[in-house]
Amino acid sequence: MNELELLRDFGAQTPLPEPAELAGARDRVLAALTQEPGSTQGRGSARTWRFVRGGVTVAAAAAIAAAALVVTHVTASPPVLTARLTAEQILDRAAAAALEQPTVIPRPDQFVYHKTYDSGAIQQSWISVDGTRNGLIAENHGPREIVKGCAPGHRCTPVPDYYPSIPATRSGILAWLRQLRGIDIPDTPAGYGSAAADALDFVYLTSAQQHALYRFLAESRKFTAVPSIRDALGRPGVGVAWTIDDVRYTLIFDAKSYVYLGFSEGLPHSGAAIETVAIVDHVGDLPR
Amino acid sequence: MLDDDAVIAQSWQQPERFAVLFDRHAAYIHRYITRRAGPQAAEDLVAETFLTAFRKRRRYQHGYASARPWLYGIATHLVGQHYRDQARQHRLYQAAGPAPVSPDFSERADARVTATAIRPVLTEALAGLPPGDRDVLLLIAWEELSYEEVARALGIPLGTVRSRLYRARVRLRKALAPTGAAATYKEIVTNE
Repeated sequence: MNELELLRDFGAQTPLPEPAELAGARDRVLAALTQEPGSTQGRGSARTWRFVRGGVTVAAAAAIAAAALVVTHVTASPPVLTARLTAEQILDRAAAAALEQPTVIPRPDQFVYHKTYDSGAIQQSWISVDGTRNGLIAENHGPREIVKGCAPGHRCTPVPDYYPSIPATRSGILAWLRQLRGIDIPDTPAGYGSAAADALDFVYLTSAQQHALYRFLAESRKFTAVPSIRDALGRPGVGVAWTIDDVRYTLIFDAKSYVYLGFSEGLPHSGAAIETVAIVDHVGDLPR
Repeated sequence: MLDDDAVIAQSWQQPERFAVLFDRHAAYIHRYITRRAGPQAAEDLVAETFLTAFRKRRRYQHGYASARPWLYGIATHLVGQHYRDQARQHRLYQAAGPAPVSPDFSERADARVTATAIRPVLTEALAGLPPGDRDVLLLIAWEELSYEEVARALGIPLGTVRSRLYRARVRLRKALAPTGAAATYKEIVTNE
């Protein structure tokens, strides 16, 4: 054993801290961030940034009335015993499950409603489908934030929450993801994983679009299977993961239905869990 | 999910976005600081590392997917400052009377781990290294940074990383050799 190995062994005796050990430092840092100009003051959750633009998708339940089409209401499935699946098999099942869901095509004048759970906070948002109308983000313990739309005739570019024509081909999806991120996508697990998480977290995808995205990810063969994981709401799931700097990032799917549950980012209890996605007519409308 | 590069750029307009960096890297920075300065100092220094990074974010050198080496560099600087402050306090106490409560690096390291025959020798050898050499050695041995990442973290040329590491290893080897520390440690591990 040389001196470097000896040092490494001593270093290995110090474990990574538990989240509670970081809480004090985190509070201090967040307090400073919210003092900066441009910050959204007083947000209840430190992690509300994840859904500043809008939310996630996944088809599931049935459409209800014209006023509010519930696209997803994700409830936990009972744990099931399944053979250990590869990442490709998990994504294939998610793709197949997506196709079984009803197709809900939003109108341009509607809003995408999301209810998510993120770091102890419940967040609801209403985001304009075509980006031309003002939306709203509300948190259970925080202020309401208006998401400015870009009305026709104004000097701005609308940012839609739904893209009607995402190409279904591999190269087409890659090009769309690149456009969505605004930067090139490295041909790596982290590159593809990050882009997919952005697509799932920041735009509304129809069931067919989800199917195409999951198939694209499966064919990329870049991910590692996570046979058992719980999302931020504690729901059991399976996942596909990639790592950056030893931190594991996971897209979590329901262990039985393979509906997308949310995203996990390394540390325990970090990430966001989706409770409901729906299409509604007005800001403030709730799915029935 | 955006990489660190993009998150930092976003934080120019949306400061709270910087919290993403904390959630991604704080655990590793905390462990590094605990290893180097002990658990008592860790919370303060972790917070200060990220606050410093936040203030300097507009000067962040873009083009890297991970900001962790940059954060290690800031943490390393703060750990050094922490010891300089402690040394100053130590001198003041000596002039005024009672000795400081705070132990020095090697004593603190001794106190927080189980006793082995090698630890005191190792910690003393580390404490005897020039600070710059010690920083390079520990970033490579404990944090597993590459030479390039250490160069980026500390803002020094790659050649300097190599020469500092070489010097540190030679000095450490010499310090350990008379005691047969490496061999003793090997025996302990083998026998466990």
